[in-house]
Amino acid sequence: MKDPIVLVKDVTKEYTMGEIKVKASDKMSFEILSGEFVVVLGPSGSGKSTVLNIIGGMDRPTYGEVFVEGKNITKYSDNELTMYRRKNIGFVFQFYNLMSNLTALENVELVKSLSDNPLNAEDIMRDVGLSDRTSNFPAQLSGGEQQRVAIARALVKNPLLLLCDEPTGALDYNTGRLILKLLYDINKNTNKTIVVITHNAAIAAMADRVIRVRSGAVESVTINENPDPPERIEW
Amino acid sequence: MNILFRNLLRDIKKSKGQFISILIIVILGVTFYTAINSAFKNLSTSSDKYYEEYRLADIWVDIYSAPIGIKEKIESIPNVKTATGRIIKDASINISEGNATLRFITLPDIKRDIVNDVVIKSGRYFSEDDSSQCLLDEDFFKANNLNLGEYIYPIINGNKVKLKIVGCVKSPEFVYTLKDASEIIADNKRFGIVYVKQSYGEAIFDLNGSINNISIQIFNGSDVKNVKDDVKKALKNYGVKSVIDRDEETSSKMISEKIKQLKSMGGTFPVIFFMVASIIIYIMMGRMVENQRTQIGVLKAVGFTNMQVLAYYMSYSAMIALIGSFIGSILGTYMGVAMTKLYNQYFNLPLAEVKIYGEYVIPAFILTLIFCLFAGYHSCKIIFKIMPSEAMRQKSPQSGKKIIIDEIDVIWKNISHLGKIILRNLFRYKKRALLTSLGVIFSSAILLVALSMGDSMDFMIKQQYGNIQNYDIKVKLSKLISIEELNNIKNITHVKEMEPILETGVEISNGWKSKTVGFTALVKEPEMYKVEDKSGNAISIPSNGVLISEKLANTLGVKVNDSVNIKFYFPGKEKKEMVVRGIVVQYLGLSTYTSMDNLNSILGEGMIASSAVLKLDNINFENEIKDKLKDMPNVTSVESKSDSLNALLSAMGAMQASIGVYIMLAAILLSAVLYNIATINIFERQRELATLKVLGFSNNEVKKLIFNENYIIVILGMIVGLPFGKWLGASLMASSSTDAYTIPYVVEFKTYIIAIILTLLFTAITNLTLMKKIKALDMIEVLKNKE
Repeated sequence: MKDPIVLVKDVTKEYTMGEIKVKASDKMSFEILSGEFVVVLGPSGSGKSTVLNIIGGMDRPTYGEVFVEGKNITKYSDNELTMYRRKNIGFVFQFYNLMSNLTALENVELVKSLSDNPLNAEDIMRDVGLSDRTSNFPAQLSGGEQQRVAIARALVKNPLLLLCDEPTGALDYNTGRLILKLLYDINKNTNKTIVVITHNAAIAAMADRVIRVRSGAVESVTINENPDPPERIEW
Repeated sequence: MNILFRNLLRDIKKSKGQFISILIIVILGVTFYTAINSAFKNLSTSSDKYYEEYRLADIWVDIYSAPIGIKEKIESIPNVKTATGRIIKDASINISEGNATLRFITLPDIKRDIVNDVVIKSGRYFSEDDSSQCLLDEDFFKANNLNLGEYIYPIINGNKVKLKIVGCVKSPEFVYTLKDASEIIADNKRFGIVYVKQSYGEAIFDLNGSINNISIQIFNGSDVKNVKDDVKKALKNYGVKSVIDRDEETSSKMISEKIKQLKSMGGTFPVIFFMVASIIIYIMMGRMVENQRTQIGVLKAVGFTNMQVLAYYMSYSAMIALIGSFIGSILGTYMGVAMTKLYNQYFNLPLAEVKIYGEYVIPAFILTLIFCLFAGYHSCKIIFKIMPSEAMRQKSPQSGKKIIIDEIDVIWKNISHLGKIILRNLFRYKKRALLTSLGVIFSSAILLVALSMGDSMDFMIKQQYGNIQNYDIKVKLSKLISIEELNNIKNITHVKEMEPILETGVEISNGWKSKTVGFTALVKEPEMYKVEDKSGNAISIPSNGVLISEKLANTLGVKVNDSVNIKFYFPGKEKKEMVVRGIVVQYLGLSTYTSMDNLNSILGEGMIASSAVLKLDNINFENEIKDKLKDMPNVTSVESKSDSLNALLSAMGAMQASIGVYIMLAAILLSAVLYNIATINIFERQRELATLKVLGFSNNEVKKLIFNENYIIVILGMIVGLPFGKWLGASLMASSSTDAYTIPYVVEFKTYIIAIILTLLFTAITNLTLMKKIKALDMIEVLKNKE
């Protein structure tokens, strides 16, 4: 068996809201193997975003540890976390978060400049199917197109992990399926480890590993020997 | 509306920094407005009261000599209320290890009410018995650490006399103790007034039964000019040297000019602050309304009227105005008291009590309210257009656009991605960038004005004491003497060179325009008392005709080769027509120059002089030679260049302080504007900034997005602000120039550099305070919600 690329161990995250302490995650533990397409499934407020933020180096757990490629990232300083995000993580958000003052291609190139071994920006734009929209500004693109730019931007630095937080949440059904297809193809063609967070149970069918979370704890982990391609998924 | 107001207070609490920085600007504006105006009011009331109480003259007449009885003749002139005759003569004195000039003025032997009366500050008036008693002017008395009952030993016509100090006094005609209009700064150690009995003055100055000065008070509302003409006619046979009124008398002129300057400052200066505050309010509230579209939509949807919503948002600016003017007027009143006292160290007016003038608080309130509400209304009027249904829906995404520089491939390719974001953002919010740079323009202009004030003074000192007054010592003589007689001065050891000078007063006129000015006759090619043209070249003195200063030429409306009429005050001399041969620069005083030969041919008195300038072969002997000169007969005063230069330099200490205040104000203006705009910028773009952080950009890289935008705006602002400052400084200098001095406006190249460096430094400091905000941006919090 392969070594896990990500190992989440007893991660607890507490928020203090006024007088009371709220636990967003409570002793969450799971692992992710290299090259897997992972879906973290759970209703809103279940702590799935919290754990993704911690894996992505945007946040630290209150207790517990997270190992990425064997290194304990919870011990990292702010600057080390910034470098960790810069070198290892590609993020895709629900609301794309593109730079409105940069064109599609410029958005990709902006991030490319951060990486030591980046991919070719034009190639990536072609891979996500946007070769002819490179000089458009985000406001001139549809939601699906914007999310493609966001994926291209995440991929261009050739990250260790591609983390997607509700990537289809703001998109219509058909566009959403196309985005999932794109992610699926990337995983299959490049063997890149992808983690998708969603509340949409149907998406779980295309994952190699499904981690179900509820009320801040892992409910179950399912290994899918024969994942369905996104074309066959309906909801 | 109550609960809404609570909501507003909470909004303010969330953005304290912005609220406070606008408040500070408003407070500064109001503070200065109230302080300057109340200082103005205090000083002008005090001077009016003082003049009234101690009967400041309306007209001063200098004559060669006239019998005491001439007073009755003057008092019979229509509109003359009362007149007082006195003797005024200058003499020198050794005091406090130096040489000083004392102006002798006679007072009645027995106290009675006279024009230009004195106020006894300590001691008493003359007693009957002893004739050699004197009253000393308070400033001189204090500056030289004298005590009542002590003796002073002035030198009159070469003879040392002994006078007992019995009292210490102030007079309304020497509120500001200047020797003459050519002095800029009062040097109380080196010049003072001594009052002696009329009988004593007559004896010691050889003026038995005579006077040489008449001060006249006229009835309220009568025409000074007519009375002056009548007086001139009446005194025709006594050799009228000058007839001046309050507008020309050194002390009262100085005071009214200074007070006027204060008033104009009180009007213009705070307005800059109000304007900058309005700009920030306009931008800030515009953003506030934009960011709270949804809230506005909800308020309207539940049934609040447009006016209610507008009032809700405008109460933000009203609150700034009210709190700002409240705090500002309290501070301003206190500062007004301090400022009055500070200015008064220089005016020396007897301040009965420094009053608080409530009448300036009200206009300050109204002015602030108008500025703030105007700005507030213009940024909030969009509320009328917001449709509730629309406002509650999601806003369409902001659009990026290509800008002009995009088209120029060569340039655009070489700009980093972050640079592109900055440039496009600046172009997207053009109006905001322009308004922000307006704040930078004001701030850098104030900075340049402050710094160039120093340049101008330095330049004037260098020109005046380096080129024009090229002598070491100036000797004033008690009467006109022939040049041959000056040889005993020239023969003193270590006196290398000597040039005679004849200085007198004349009335110069061109048609109906006339002016009383100094008239200076110099040798043909003067080496030590030079006259220069505008470009700094020495001009030789014409053997016929005159040279006049630029300012005088403008006053009279004459140019080179025009004729002017010159009237001498020597008895029996009529008006002479003379041709203007050239225009000269003159920083101190207002004068006319001709050659001694020319004057001789006009007056026919031979080669005579009233003073002489000397150059020494070794400056170390300066004091020794000054002592020798003082002991010589006919010498009234000895003044070295270093004396007058030192007096000027010490007065510049006060200017250095005001430069410091100006620099501080410029810094506050700049920081407040930049802080506010950048805060808005960070808030609006928090999503973008947070995204960059998530993508792996470090705080240092993210901050560039905001900071470099600040730097660009600051640099653009300076491009306009510095030339604007130069223009502002030039017009300020021009308006502050008086007959006594004209300060040339000079901005050194290094001053521009210093202004630029300081402005960038203030920007860097402001950016430093903003760094905290960028560090505090919470990636998760920001990215979690759709805005």
